[in-house]
Amino acid sequence: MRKILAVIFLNFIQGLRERIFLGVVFFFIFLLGLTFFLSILSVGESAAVTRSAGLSAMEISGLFLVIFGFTFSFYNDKTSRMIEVYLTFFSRYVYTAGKLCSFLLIAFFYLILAGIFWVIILIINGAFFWQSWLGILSIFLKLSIALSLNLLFSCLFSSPIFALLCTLFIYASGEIASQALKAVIIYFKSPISLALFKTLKYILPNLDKIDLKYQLAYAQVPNANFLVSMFFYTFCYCLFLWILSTRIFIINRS
Amino acid sequence: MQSQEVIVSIQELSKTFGTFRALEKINLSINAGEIFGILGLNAAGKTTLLRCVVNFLKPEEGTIFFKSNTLTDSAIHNAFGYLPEDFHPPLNLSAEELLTFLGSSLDSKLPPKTCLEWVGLSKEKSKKIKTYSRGMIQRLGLAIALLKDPQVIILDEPILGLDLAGQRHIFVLLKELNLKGKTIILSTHIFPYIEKFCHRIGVIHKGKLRFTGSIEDFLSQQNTASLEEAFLKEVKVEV
Repeated sequence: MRKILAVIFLNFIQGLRERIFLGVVFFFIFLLGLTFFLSILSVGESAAVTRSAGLSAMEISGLFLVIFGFTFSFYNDKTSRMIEVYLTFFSRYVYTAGKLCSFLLIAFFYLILAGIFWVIILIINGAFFWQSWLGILSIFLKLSIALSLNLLFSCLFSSPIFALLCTLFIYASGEIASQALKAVIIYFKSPISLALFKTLKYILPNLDKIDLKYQLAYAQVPNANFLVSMFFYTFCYCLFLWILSTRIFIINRS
Repeated sequence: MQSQEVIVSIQELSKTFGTFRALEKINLSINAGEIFGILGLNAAGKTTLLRCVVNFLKPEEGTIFFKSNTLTDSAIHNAFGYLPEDFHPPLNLSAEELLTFLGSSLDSKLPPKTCLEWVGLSKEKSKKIKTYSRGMIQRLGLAIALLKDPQVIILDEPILGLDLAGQRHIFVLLKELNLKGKTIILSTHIFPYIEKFCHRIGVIHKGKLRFTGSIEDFLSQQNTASLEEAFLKEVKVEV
């Protein structure tokens, strides 16, 4: 545990000092400004727009932060030969776990920071309600899956661009694939195609299932069972991806 | 400080990258407390050999022993210090932060302050690494390698990019560490330092270990008085 904490703090401090962190904070403030003006223009739906657009701004900026930050950090460790030094201190499992957890911590820290700005806008617009923070939680869970995917592709590919693009594509498909595949499956009669699409549906992350933006925009609060299942799903998905990534990382040693 | 006890033993080690045979059946024993220099031209296999020893690369064949037991990750994490070639630490941290974080993962360690004092970086310990010169970065790499108070220190081109004063400082430090009982395995192209500081050498060429032994034996084998000339003769490079 002490070794994992060492990797976490090492990467957390580094990550916060990178220019990308500051850049993303400014980008979010810009998006939040847009949200504010959008809410003024949306007469009658002002509160819903502030909630929904604010959460979307947080998600987009958070996604940029974790994916660019993580990919840069992971590949920088390789090119700078720092990974060789780290692996004389920690095992490969500790390294990948620490790296993943450190960026989860960065995402969490960023979302708290962004959440404070968002809540201020919500209060100004009279759109604040106590359960709003569940939206931040759902974004954190989605970013956790994005980070785990990024870890997998970073371990799999030697090119950072490839890892970055694959993560973004899978993340985007995770947002829309579930509904799209449901529709596609209806039209396929062949059992092979059906099995293929069903497998794809289960393998791709069901990000729409852990997205609370729409519900919270209209101040609808999901029940506790749903929240627990969201947590459980994300935890299992991330755990599976971490184990898979580390196995690939070990195999790639040769 | 040399002893006859073998601390690291490499047996029949082979490593291939695609179709390129980087190492071929390397057999090598390093005695406890010696400074062992690995000589070779570029792409001879020196770095690959050192990377296999620290378990960063997995060899296809062969075994590495540490004190007569098969070398494990745990032994590397506890007893091996390593400075890779052309190493670049995280630029946004200070030397003190980097050593403190890395040190917090260790059961027994030297205080970061002591390591930084040894390498002459105590005055700059709070400065961000991005303000460091190449020489200071190499010294920081050495401080990291010393952090766990290792029994074996492996250095890949430790004086790469250093000026004469920096080179001298590193080798004097290595000699001091050796006198404290540390076994040092290093690869370098700077022959005068090898002649002056190494107890034994290994000459590696095209993935094969061509010679292992004392510098005197190598010179008499090649029938010359200069290590540089003897090396060039061994690898058949005409000057």
